[in-house]
Amino acid sequence: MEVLVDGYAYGSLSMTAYTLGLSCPATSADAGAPLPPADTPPDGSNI
Amino acid sequence: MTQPSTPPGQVMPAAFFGHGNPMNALEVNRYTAAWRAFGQSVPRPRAILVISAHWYINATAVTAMPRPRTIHDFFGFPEALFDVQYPAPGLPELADEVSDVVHPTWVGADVDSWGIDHGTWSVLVHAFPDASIPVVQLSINASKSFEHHLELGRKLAPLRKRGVLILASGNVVHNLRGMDWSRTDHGYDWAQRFDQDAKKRMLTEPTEFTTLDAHPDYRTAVPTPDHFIPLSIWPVSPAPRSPTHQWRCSSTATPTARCR
Repeated sequence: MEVLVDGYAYGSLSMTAYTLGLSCPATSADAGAPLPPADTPPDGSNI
Repeated sequence: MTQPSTPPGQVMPAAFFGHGNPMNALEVNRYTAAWRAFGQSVPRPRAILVISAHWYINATAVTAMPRPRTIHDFFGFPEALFDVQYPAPGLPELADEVSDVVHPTWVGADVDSWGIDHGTWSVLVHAFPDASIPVVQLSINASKSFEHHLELGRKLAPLRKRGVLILASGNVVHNLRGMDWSRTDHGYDWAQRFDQDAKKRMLTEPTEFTTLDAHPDYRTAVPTPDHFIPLSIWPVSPAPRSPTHQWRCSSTATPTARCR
């Protein structure tokens, strides 16, 4: 088992992904989590 | 990029994705780049079976329609996100295969209710952008124990030898009420502690990660079980656990999922 990618978003979200039986090449993208919707509270978004 | 086909007898990989904000579907960032790299690295599967945090119902069911619809199960996002379609075919016969391998667990065949929700398509639009591989979703049964889902994952493992790519989509730490949109790439201390300890457990004793319910940050990191359970439906053979150590997965309105 390996970590595919990890990180955090919006304080209380982890973005960790795992793979089983597969190694993936490292990627070079730098950008992080997307900007959120402007007018919707997090607990009303159903993400 | 064309994926290699599945060689006979090969065991398909499996993966768990922290899917996060559905806007990931429209963006290129470090997460979506990794998801794309995953899709380009796996042998082409016969079908993709996805356990998504967003199909959390009081039954165990699989989608069994030939053309599953794309479900936009979120609120407040730009119209462009509601316009996203993931027109992958279904594979109704996989419902029978799932039912066979998880017997005696009853599995309902959903022919007209669900489809492909954002926990699935926000990842697959990057991992498998041409949407040509059949996609089937397996629900999380909110009325069943965590132990039940561990066992379910163990029983699904043989499908990996039949060309089925098993994916789970949720978030190890998922606390909507604690979320602060302004902290785009930030994790609170408790979130980082729990995720890091979960990572240690997953990489060293993956079948024992459920003991994380004793972690001091568990109740804050996992206030509802829906996004955590997909990590338990891990298609490997877990070690037997004590029958006294069980979690109950009740509704998302329940603040914790732990009981004994």
